[in-house]
Amino acid sequence: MALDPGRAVYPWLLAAVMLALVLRPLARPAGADSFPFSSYPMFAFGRPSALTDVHHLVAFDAAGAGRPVPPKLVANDEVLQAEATLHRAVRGGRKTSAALCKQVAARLADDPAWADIVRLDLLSDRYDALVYFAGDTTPIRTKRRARCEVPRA
Amino acid sequence: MSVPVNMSERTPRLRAALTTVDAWFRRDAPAERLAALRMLVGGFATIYLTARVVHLVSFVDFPARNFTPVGVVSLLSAPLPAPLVIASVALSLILAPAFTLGWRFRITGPAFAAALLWVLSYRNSWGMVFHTENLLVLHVLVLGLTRSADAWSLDARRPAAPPPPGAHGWPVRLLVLVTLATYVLAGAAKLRLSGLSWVDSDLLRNYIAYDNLRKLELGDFHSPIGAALVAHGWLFPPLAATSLALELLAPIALVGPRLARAWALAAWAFHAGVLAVMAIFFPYPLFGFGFAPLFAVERLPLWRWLGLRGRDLPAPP
Repeated sequence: MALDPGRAVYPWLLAAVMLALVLRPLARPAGADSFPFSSYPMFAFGRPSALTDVHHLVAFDAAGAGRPVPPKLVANDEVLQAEATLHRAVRGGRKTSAALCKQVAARLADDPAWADIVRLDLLSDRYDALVYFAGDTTPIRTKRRARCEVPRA
Repeated sequence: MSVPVNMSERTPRLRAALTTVDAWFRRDAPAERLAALRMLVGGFATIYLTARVVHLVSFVDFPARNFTPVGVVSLLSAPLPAPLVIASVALSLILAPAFTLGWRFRITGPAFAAALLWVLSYRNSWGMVFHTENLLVLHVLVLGLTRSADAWSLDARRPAAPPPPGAHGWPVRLLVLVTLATYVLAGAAKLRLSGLSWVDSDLLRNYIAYDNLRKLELGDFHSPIGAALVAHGWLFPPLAATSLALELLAPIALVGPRLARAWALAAWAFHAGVLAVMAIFFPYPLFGFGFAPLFAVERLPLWRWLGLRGRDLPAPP
């Protein structure tokens, strides 16, 4: 049987299949991605401009002071998974954004570390990333996608 | 019918070239090297899956609308029911030590490779494709489909027919080829998507600033080093050129063991740099496992400490 690791043809067969699958992304459109046979486009796009749009959830206390909601309360412990979840909600429109806002607000309500929080805003902020790290962290533009109260018993 | 003269001249040359490539690819290596790679990669996978188990089952709470299947998970049109997600993660956790210890490997080798492929593909099927586990899965696929449990395994304790000559060298070659190919692909992606402007413009600087900013605003860790460095634009073209060269020139590691070691060290430094300036952690290469196929890992003191002894091991290639 050709698929027996002991057969002479097997090394070349497995090598040909594996290398063809690994190199296949070269034959696909640039930027197309999959797993585990990836084109590894993660850093390849670069960014022609320092202008950066960030969708994020900000938690506000009664005095109006805000702080970002961490990834594990938005999706899981992966920040990029949280970003993808927020991006999808914003792209889905008001209803989807509001649904995510309420879902996260319910999680905050169960967490004593967030007992002071009264409401959440899902914001799309635009920054100049270079200016931001030079000290000016004020967004150039802010768009509120959803607002929801944190349910308290 | 007579063969054209130039064809008949070419045929022996082609045959000689193919014979050379075949001899290079199938150059033998001790069974212990492949076994050591199985234990290193399998050990890493076991610890990784255990450490990430909460994360891997966290997707049961994700809304179905976020499901964006990739790879083998594209067979599904909707997310799996929660018990099946938990069962698949549990199965991979059960198979991982069997793979690592080489127990019933003809079954557990391919089975663990398939389970790991499934579980990690599923985790990448929620709108974000990560790139930290690809090489681990590729290595497990190669190891699981080859005779990597002929030595230093529970199977090796039972009497068995001797393996065919040359059975343990080519899988190591294949692991090396797959490793290097992934780096070449990453370099090629930069050229395809951004061209040489990836090197001679602010693309990398802006990317590092953007990446750190989004992490800060999303309430996660960021790199204070990267945040400080983006003020110095002159730093980034040389950094970009070095990383691109490292990726595109990865095949130089095939030239010989010295170049292989030098390239592996440079690639490790690249990942350390990514961690330092973007707080992105690639554990598999950073802990050295990703580069293990480039080394005579059967000579690590770890194996003597574990009481494993090789036969008279030849010098590294």
